[in-house]
Amino acid sequence: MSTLLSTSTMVARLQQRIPMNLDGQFCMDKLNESYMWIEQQGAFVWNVKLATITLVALGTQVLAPTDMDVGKPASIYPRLPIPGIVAATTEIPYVPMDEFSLHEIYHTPTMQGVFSVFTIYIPTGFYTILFAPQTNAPIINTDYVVFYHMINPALSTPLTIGPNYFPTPDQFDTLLIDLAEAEIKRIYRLGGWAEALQKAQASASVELDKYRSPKRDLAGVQEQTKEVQEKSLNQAQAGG
Amino acid sequence: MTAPNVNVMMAAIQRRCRGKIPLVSIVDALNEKSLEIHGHYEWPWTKAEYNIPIQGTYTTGTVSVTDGTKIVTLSGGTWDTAWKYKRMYLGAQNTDFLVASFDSPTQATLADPVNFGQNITNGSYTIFQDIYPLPDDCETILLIVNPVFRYRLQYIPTYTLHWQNVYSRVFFSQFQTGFCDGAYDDTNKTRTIQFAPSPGGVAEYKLIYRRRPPALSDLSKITVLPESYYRGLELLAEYQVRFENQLPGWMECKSEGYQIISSMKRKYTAAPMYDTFAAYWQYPYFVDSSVYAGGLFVGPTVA
Repeated sequence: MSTLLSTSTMVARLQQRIPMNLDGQFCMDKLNESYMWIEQQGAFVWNVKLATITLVALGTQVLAPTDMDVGKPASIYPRLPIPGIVAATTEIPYVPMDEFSLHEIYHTPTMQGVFSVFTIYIPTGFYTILFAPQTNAPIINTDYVVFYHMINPALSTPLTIGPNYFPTPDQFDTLLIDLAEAEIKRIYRLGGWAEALQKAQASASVELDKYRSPKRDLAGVQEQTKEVQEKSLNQAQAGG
Repeated sequence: MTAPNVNVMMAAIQRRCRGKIPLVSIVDALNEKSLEIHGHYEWPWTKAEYNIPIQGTYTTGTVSVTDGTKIVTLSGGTWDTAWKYKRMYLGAQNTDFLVASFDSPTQATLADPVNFGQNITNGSYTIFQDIYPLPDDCETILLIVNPVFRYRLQYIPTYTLHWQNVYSRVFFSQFQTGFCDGAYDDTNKTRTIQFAPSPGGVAEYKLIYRRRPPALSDLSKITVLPESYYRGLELLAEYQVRFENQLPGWMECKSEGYQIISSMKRKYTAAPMYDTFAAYWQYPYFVDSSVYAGGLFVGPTVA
């Protein structure tokens, strides 16, 4: 969370940059929109939260935390120790709903408390975490730890002018002002708005990459390269 | 340092695969590769023993059965409803019937209806058992020994066993000379063996066999592989999940995993030569026993 510029200061700076006697609330709206644009760019560490959810005995589903952003990565694992059963201490991976049923039957005998995967659906108006395989449901209430990205309160309740601070780190304060400035210039057709917007978004992207919570993107590229190499080698061996 | 359990191996694979693999898929892979490794060779640590509880005959009371039906009723005796794999001779007929179930202490259901052309009323009978289930984890029979008379039973083909039983059909003995593969028990999902001649009294035969490795059925289980080589199993399981989930890196896992297993095989092939199946040929068959003479069995029998 920023500790540098309050929203009052940010609005004042914006009004200084564009001396058109801009309305304060209008500037605040644009700052909030800029913040929303940043949130749309991915999953970031300032939204990561940890909660404990309790799965009722013999159950396979539990309500997701109410502020969970289900479109962003989440990680679930059992909170140990679980009395009476040996549970996996390992992350339960997420699978999309179209793969979920594939994980209901395994060759391995039933292993109480060892869920293989989870998915998310919305049976009764609330996002719900559903585990598979069903046969491994623990016979006692079981706690699970959920690492997830919250829907930041600053999104559902936009910040107002005052001693308020955006949830982004300090260095984003000027970036937010830059983005808002470019947007205001675009609205009023002031010269150079396109370059200003492009520059502000490029700067923001560089900064955002440092704060992405999942770090698998780079590894993904490396793995793709290796996969191609392995397939070639395998084909060469099969052909030889 | 102790051998890692399933939980630790699963976590290691999951870690190396960046948390992308469904957990039970990894446990499945560990189990499947464990079976595969054990299928490659008769590893010394898979030897196991089991005492086969040979059952005697039961003839108390008399039975009645209507021709063309399967229901047999008993008077003057008591059957154990827990009996399985029993056969029954009815009256003086030289045909035995498999008993499907003992419905009550005085009623049994045969597997097939009797077809004598006449009812049996208060006739004599003999219940005996020549089929015995093998232990669930039995993969290969190494040896079956009669520990009292100190000889091993000969494995004989099914047709030979039944040919021998033509002559000994009503001959019950405690001196079984051979066994063959029995039918698969669909109900109990068990393999069976059949002895000849049919047992006449209670005994214990010692079965020495190669067992299937125990299933890694919960997270605390430890593989039966020597600790120095458990990594071979872990790598092969990782190879499988990487390959199936199209993750790169499976080739290194496959290569290193099989190298470890090859190294293990070299070590265990060289060491316990005295403990191979071939060495069991020295154990005498019944024909070398002191109680066998001139084609006759000289031993306790029950007529």
